[in-house]
Amino acid sequence: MARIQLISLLFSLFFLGFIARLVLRRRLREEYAFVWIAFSMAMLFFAVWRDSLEYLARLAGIFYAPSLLFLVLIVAILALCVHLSVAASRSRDQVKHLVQRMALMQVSSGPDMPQNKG
Amino acid sequence: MKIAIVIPAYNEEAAIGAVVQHLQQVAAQLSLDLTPVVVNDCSQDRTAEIARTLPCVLLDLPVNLGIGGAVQTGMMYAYQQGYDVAIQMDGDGQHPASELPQLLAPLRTDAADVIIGSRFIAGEGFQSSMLRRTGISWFRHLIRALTGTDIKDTTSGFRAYNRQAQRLLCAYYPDEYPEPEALVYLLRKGCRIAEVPVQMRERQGGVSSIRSLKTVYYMGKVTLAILFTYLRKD
Repeated sequence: MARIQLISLLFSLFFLGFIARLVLRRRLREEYAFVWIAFSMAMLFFAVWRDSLEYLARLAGIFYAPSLLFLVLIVAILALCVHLSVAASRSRDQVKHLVQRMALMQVSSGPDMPQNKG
Repeated sequence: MKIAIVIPAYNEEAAIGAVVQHLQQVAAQLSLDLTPVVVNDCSQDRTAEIARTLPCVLLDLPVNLGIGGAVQTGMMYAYQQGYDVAIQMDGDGQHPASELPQLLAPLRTDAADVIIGSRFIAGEGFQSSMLRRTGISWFRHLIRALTGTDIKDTTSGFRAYNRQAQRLLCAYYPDEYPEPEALVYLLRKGCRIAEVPVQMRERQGGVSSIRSLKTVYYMGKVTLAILFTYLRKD
């Protein structure tokens, strides 16, 4: 096994373990962990079966096999970033809505001001 | 026995009236202390307005949380208000109120903490689609392999919980496709789970929130979630 394969294998296992630990401690939701787990598994697979990387690279018309790895990784990160942006947007909207609801529930009217309806 | 019927409802204006009224009838017939608790999951239709005119408690969520969050809210209400039993029922009419005594019987004798109304013990009534049954079978075997408990209808939303189970659900309940994972969680926390045969009906109105295209993704996601829940030590 080439040195880079061993390094990739160890890194993949470490990364997988790290993600699993975060989920087990409830610091990371499973739905977000899914992508990282899939990525670790893919890295593990390519680390062990280097030939599959060469084969797929040729299939995609890529000359330098590890470039395929970079391509896949970049696409995965892009997709994840978009997903997180969408999730953050939704959270922001929900928080705003909740804040407004709470404020409307706790209206206090000063003297000579119209009293709110319950 | 004070019983709360937690009814999560998302766009169920067509069926919710009938569900609550049927509950009222059954409560009167069988002299049960039932309180329907409709949890409106930020529906876009007239579910909340209709529920306000019905003899029920309405929990009106300002933001859509999904089935997990909605049911958990209902459980929190039931637990806080001191209900002995909280029963989860669908808002679409699939779970007939006439089947309630089946769920209540083992709780009266404290034979179990969680009672599941199962479609697949007697094999009668609406049996659900082939695709769904494959999924349900997968989870049955997975849960049995992990916990040793054989539950035939793992995705049934027709369940009764005593106070101990309610307290656990208040602490944790999965947001999406919660039914199978919740079983593993409850088993890990020492709950006794029993299944009783019930007959279910087809949806009385509205649209199901599970489509066949999403099924494979759903199965993978829930399987992963089940494994994590099983391994968690807290």
